Amino acid sequence: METREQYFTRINRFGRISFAIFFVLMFAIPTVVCAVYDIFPSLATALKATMGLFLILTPIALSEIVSFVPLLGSGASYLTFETGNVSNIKLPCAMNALKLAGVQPASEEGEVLSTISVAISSIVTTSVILVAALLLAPLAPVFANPSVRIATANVLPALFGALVVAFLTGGDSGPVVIRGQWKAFILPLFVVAVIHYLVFPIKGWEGVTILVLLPVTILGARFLFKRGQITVVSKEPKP
Amino acid sequence: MKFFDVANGSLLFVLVGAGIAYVLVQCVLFLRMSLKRARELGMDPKLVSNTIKSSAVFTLAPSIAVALGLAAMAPSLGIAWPWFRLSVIGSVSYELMAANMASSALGFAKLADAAKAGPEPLGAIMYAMTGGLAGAIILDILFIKKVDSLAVKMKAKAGSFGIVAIGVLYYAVLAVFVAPFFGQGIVAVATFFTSIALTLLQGFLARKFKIAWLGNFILSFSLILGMCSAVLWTALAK
Repeated sequence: METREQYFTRINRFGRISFAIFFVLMFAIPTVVCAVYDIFPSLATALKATMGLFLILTPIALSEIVSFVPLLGSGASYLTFETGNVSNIKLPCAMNALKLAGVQPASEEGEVLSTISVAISSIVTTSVILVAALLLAPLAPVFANPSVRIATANVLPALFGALVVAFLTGGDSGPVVIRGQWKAFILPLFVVAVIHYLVFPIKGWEGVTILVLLPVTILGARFLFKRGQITVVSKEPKP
Repeated sequence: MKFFDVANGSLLFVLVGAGIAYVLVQCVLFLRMSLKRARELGMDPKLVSNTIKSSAVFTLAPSIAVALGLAAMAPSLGIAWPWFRLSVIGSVSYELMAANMASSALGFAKLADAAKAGPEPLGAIMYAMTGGLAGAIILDILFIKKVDSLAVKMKAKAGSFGIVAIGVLYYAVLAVFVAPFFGQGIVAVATFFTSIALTLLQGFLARKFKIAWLGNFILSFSLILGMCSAVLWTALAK
């Protein structure tokens, strides 16, 4: 059996190589299309159109790496960032899987389960979009249905309502139980509420806000832990 | 040649299909590696199969929202390119914005105007949407391994608090998405609380009547029913 280090090295090598090939494939699509139809934009036009997006998306990616990789582990992270829809599908899906299994992120079991979860989630999303792409014309009345539009426009409140309960009530983390963990949610929620309603709306700045909140959340939890408000208790019965 | 002759042309569909097939193969290979590792670690097969089932069901409802994003983008960009972007790399919340920003940088007031100017803007828009993510992908390739390795080391070093610290990291994500709902109108707030109530109710029913299978699907059912409740709250709010 491979050691944890060997598995870690192998999954990262595979992730890096396959992600790099994907990077080339991604650029190959517009290049082939532009070559065949002779519609290459000038370099100046391409750069002008690209720069704004590049400047917005690169810091978001940085914040997502720092915030989400410790939760997902390496294997799931490569898949998550490559298949997209990170905070609305892949991350909640993996976190739900770990919670249901009672497994901690940044553990060997957590890494394995989150990779399985994200791989399955990616296959399902791709299949649903494939069906939608194939049936776009016949499905047009369904997509245009006001009830469907209202329901899908409210996917995030419904998703995070369920996640809040799952993550605030359960303290089961593998061989231990964490008591009072929910208290660590009050400070980041308060900070975001103050920023969002009194300073500036965070829409479009979620990634950066998460990056700022990470140390705030951990320091708040550290304070509560030291005060005995959050405790870690072993599940094994005392002899 | 017109914009949509290229955007809905068979060449783009073949290329996009190949790109998506590549990512699907990658998913299967990652899945195979993890399943093998789960066996090596002696993990309960039931735990693994529950993860597969709950992840599949959990993903269905938000995927429909992504499919709606495809329907929203298709009139401006054709089917093939949005199909690619929403299946891999893209996010339903960013893609339309990215396409609009690219067309605006090209001097078009609206994305739809780009389609009226012939096929040339399509090349520039595809390059812009791809190049815009180049920095993100390079950062992913360079730093995922380092950050993961660092997180595992820090968790081990911090002892019992390491378990708490990793456990509360997701609270930062929750806080960022939850706080703004309260300013998004009564329907969003009511949907949020309905979802909370549904999750609590199902948790209670699963425990009270010992319905073990329900535990794996509580979040999925709350998500779907919560989304449906938004229709009711919208009707009542009128």
